[in-house]
Parts: sequence; structure tokens; C-alpha cells
Amino acid sequence: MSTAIKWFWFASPQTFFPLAGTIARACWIGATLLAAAGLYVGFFVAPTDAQQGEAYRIIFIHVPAAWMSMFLYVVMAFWAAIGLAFNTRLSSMMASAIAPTGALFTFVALWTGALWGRPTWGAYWVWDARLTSELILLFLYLGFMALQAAIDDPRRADRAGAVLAIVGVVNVPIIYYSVQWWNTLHQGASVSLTRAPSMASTMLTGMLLMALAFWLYSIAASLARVRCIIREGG
Amino acid sequence: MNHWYLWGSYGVTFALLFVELALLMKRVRETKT
Repeated sequence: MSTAIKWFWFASPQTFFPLAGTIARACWIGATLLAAAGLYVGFFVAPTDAQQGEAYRIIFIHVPAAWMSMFLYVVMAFWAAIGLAFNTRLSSMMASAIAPTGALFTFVALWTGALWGRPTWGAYWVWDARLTSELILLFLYLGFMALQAAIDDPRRADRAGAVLAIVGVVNVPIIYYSVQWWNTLHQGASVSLTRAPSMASTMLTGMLLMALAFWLYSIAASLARVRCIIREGG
Repeated sequence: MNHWYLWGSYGVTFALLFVELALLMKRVRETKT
């Protein structure tokens, strides 16, 4: 029995169902603990910012939510593409299950960004490249969900949604690199894989803990939703 | 004044997460029956 056979075993909705439940339960617990730790570090350990005062603490939800909004879109498009290429129902179900949580985190990123922008930039909203491309991401999520809901036949809905999801992926690098490609009001990345972070270590710790909490929350919510979709018969 | 922005951010974020959780739990209950 090779590992490859196990993968195909779990590609069946019926066999994936109990595994999804077990993983979701562990992720709910992990997300709660990490969020508690992240909020503690964010509010009680990280110091007040010299320039922005307490308003900067929005960073502990704004940045993780923005990361999740982009990451979830790529994962959603990946599963939609696998479903389109191999006609595997579970892959398309996963894409459908991820979309609402991705849309939620995109809205949270926009909302918290607006409330952070007002005290720091003097405006809730500007038609800046980063903000506009993130708004387009929200419309892509909403469009994906609306398109799937508008088509009765699940297989046709999966195919139509997959095309939209795959085309929309081009927006993700645009969001990420928008602060480098254009002159934007939005600041550049404070955390990068290629260089040292330009923020205090306690601030970084709080942000990473919240990012992990949101990540586990997203896995748990998506798996709980895919179990509902399986029960509903796709 | 800055506190309004801070609590407006955290309040709406966690309210939305709880709404998603409540809707998910409702859907789980409905699909069980």
C-alpha cells in the first residue's frame, strides 16, 4: 500500500468526511488558543507606538486578515483547478467551502484598513493600487459565490466557478506587488521572507500568532463547511 | 479618538467571525437531520 493510494482514498467525499471532522476539531482548539495568545501579546506585551499611539494595534488583525484573503484565494483557485482538470467533486467542494471565509477575511482587511487609514492618512479610503486591487479580490470572491449559486447543476457550477477563480488568480500578485509597482499611499511590506522584519519583535510575535490563529480558523471553518456540502449531496 | 478606530476594527472583525460560526453551526444542525 503506497502513500499515493491513500491520497486517492481520501479523495472520496465519504472517506474524507470523518477525517475533515477530526482535523476541524483540532483546528478550532488551536485557533482559539493562538488567538488568545496573539491578543494577549498584541494588547499587553507589545509597546505603544511612538507615532501612531494605540491605533497601530489594528495591525494584529489587519495584516493577518490581508494575508489570509490572498492565501485563501490561491488555495480556492488551486482546488477549483484540480476539480476542473480531473473532474474530482471533492476538490470543487473544497473551493466552494473556502470562498465565504476568504470573502470574510477580505472584508475584514478592507474594514480594518479603512479604520487604520483614517487616523494615519486622514482618509478612510483612497483609490490606491493596494486598496483597489484588494477590493477587486472581494468582488472576485463574491462573484465566484454568486456564479456557483446561480447555476443549478453542481458540475456546471463547479466548471464556471473554476474558470472565474483561475482567471482571478492574476489579481493576487498584483495586490502583493502593488506597493512596489506603483506609487501608493499604502506602506510597503514590513515582513518578508528575504530580509529581516522592520518591526519590534513583540509586535511581530503578536502578528504571527494572530496569522496562525486565522489560518487554523480558516481550515476549521472550510472543513466544517465542506462536511455540510457533502451531506447536502454537493 | 484613536480608541474608536481600534475597537471598531476588533469589534467588527470578531462579530463577523462569530456570525460565520453561528451560520456554520446552524447549517451543521440542518444537514444532520
